[in-house]
Amino acid sequence: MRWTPVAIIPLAALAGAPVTVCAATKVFLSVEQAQQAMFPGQALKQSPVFLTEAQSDAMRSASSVRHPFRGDRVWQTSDGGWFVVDEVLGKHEMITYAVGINSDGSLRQIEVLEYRESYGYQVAEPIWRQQFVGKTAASTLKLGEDIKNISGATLSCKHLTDGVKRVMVMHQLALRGAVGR
Amino acid sequence: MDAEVSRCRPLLGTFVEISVRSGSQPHERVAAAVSSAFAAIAKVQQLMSFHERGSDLGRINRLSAGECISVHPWTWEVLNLAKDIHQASDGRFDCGVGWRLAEWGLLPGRDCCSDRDSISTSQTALHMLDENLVRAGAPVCLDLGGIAKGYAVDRAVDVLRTVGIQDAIVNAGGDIRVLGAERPIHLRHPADASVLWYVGTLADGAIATSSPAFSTRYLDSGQRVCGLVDPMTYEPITQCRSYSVVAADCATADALTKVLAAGAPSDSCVFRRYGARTVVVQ
Repeated sequence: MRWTPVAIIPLAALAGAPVTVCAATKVFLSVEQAQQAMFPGQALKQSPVFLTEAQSDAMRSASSVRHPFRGDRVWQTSDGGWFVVDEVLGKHEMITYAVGINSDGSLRQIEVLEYRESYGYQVAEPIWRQQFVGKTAASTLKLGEDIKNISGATLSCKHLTDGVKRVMVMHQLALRGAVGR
Repeated sequence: MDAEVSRCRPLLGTFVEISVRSGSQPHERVAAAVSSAFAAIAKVQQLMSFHERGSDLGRINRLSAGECISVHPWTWEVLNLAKDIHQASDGRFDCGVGWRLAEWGLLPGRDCCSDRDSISTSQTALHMLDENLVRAGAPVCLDLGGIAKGYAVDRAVDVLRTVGIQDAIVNAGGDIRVLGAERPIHLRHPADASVLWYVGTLADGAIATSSPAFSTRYLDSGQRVCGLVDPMTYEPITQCRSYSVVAADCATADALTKVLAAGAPSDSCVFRRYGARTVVVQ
């Protein structure tokens, strides 16, 4: 273990100091990369799905996810599996994720593709940088870089779980049995 | 710079990120190792979930007084570490407070535990016998949420190390372990999740953080509760602070954050015993 803390700042100073950072978008996988990761070596064919109002209602009541589902991000694999991309709003962030579904309808894999912290204030860069000149706590922050290693404040993944439920209901209602479309 | 393989999946009730700098290893091999590391985390979740009746923890929580069962070696290891830290911290760590969290509605209801009336309020009612065997002196309602997440991170790092990966980071909702070269570490501010603090760099070690700030809720009675229980009083720890501990492994760091939150001073010998360092932000 090698821990190199920054010069420790008194608690009172911590409370008042204006050192803020807007964590940037984290991209884990592109759609194509996620397809290859979940269904290696398989050809995927984009198969847009058009949902009836009744189907949309059923998906909403089963998952409590309210924003509209985009049916154009659905792909079918050569062996009858499915690959679906969707988004949910987390607590403070938009999360784009992919769900892989096996040909028997079971859940194959979930991958987060993109995770956007949307805390609102994007401080104009030069001003932001100026603010911290010479401040120990900020000296190694690099603007424009992902801030990845954040310890604390467990972000709930409940909304993502709801989103996956919605995708599985959508599969059941609209995709299952829809082979060779 | 080496290529980096980064993946994120929903596990342990949070987002788990694994990033590996692949060095000279082929991409496919690294990607497979990352998948195996996620599988280890899923395995810990399956064994130690409070919500699953069939998990090791679910079985333990339904033991009658005097009953004895065999558990997975990983579960046994976590319980044994919990016992060790409970003793070293004079009871400031106690995973026997699941009943309290259930009362507050932060964990699901009563069918997860045995008979409420005879339940022990402390983990000490569970006795560690020989390897992989445990016996309930009295019924217990354990919640391993304060230690198993860190343990899962350790198992993932083990998987990566076993296949020869030397530079990686695993982050399970703020419980972080770094394998190899140093990485910058940030903390969220307990009063405002959009504020991040750069607190230092960490190499070959773990940091975990607990804060009541993000799990606070109000009961119908108006009482303010949160996911952190003070095991001495069974009251919620409601100070708006975050408690971080740096240690060699993540299970220890995770459990020691509860000791810190429950009021152990940063210079107390429990932290020295585990070679741990503390960071409190308010």
